[in-house]
Amino acid sequence: MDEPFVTKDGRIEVAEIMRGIRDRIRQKRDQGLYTDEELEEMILLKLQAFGDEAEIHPELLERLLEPSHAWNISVDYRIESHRAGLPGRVIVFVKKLVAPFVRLYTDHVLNRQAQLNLYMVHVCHNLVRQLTRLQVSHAALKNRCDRLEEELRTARTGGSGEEAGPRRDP
Amino acid sequence: MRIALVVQRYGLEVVGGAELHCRWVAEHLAERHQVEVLTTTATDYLTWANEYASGPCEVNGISVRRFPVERPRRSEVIDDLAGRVCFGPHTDEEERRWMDEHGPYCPALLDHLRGEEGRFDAIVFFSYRYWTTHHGLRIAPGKSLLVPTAEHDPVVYLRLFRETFRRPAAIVYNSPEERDLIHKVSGNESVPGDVVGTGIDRPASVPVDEVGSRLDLLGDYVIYVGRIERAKGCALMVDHFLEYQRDRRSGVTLALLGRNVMDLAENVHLRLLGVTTEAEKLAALAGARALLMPSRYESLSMVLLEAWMMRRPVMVNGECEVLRGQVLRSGGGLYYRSYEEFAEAMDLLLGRPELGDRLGAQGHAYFEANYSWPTIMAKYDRLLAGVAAPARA
Repeated sequence: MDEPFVTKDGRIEVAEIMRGIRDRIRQKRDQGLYTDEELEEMILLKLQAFGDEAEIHPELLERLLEPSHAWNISVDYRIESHRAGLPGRVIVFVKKLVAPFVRLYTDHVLNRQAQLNLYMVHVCHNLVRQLTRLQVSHAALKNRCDRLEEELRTARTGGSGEEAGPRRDP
Repeated sequence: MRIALVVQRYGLEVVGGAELHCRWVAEHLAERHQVEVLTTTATDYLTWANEYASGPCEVNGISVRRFPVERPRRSEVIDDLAGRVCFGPHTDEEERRWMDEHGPYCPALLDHLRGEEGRFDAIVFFSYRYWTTHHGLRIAPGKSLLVPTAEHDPVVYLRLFRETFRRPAAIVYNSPEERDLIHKVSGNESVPGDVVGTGIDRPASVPVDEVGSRLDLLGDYVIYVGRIERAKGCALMVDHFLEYQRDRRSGVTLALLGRNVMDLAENVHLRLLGVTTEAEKLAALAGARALLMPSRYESLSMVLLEAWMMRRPVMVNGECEVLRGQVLRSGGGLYYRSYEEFAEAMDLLLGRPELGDRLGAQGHAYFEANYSWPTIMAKYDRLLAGVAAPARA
């Protein structure tokens, strides 16, 4: 077997086959109407358009579009009060005192919601990704159909552009 | 040597990788040692309902002593608790409650072990994540051997298991990846151990030539063997397979062997064959173009070893370090991490049968070199001698 993934002693190298598989996938993508990067840009544009429609702040949207965005629910925020002086310090002290007890009841609920949000984001992103790919492939197939119809018409009319009758031998 | 094996469930009717692993190890150890299995009367790990009679009995010539589970597993409690300890901030007390709910809660087994541990030279515990192992390891850690069967899932990161992995006198790992994972989460590098795994028991006769007509499996097919459930990655595997069929207009069939706990509908190319005999399973594997193993969480896939025993290649989920490592070390198959890789790998295995045969042969050679029973038992004997001698002294 004279192949790149077969070693001199006749052993098949799985890592080499996998490299070949990845190369072929890359080549296939390269032969497409759009490169993978171009497709990703189209997908991002679509996602941003949805965000604009929903009037989500662009900075927040940028963070939400991060694939591994952890839906920041960190409770390590700074506890403060808008009041100055002693009343302000007392309020901050009380808030700090109460915070751990509130967290005891809210943390796991928030975490669960964060997991759900992350899941929904994944589902939506994947749907948009699939939809974009399908639209691209649909456009390519449509173009191909048009081209084939054109070729068929040309063949039928003998290049005259008109519908011709059945051909007869001379 | 007198050896006790402690396992959460045990019996010919019990379905489960770790439990079968334990049974085979017990039966092979019994060829040279005096073996007794201590277990519960449960057969179902989702309920821990007491099914067997408690007390001593024999299973395939092995002495087995069963103890009743005192508390059933309550899904309404464990589901919430598991979500909390696995995915969110939680306390040590919640982890302890999870352990008790996870079960099998069986104080009688521990009481027996406490009273009788002096009779044994070594005690082997199977599966780190069960109550019987977690608490049992405290009784005589100096002569205890742990077979963790750990997978890379959220449970392995629970704080209470750090001690579990540091406590035994030695550890029997299933794969180098499992060893690395346990070292990482528990820092137990000082505990002696070896990568051992398990052998596979082959039935006396495997009806390779008859299974196609017996199971109505005609033409090219790839096969999945195991519980058909989402947790094992079956949903994604079936999705990939059906997309592959639409994409390539392929005539290949996916045969699924095992208990179906998903809402899967059978069609002409997706066959649900249910639970078959061991011999039929191996025969079906032998006739397949490849075994598909979509699970993300494995400590050692016994069905991979079975496929290699039958000289067939495998196609595994590349996101699982253990499976990917096994495939790369053995050269016995391919792996995939996306639909595109799945489709390309299927193209290769279906379009070039000679390549599949050669990968299967490499897997077989790897299986023979590492997972034959003499090799496995020699490793067990070495580890057992290591823990028994200091304990006797």
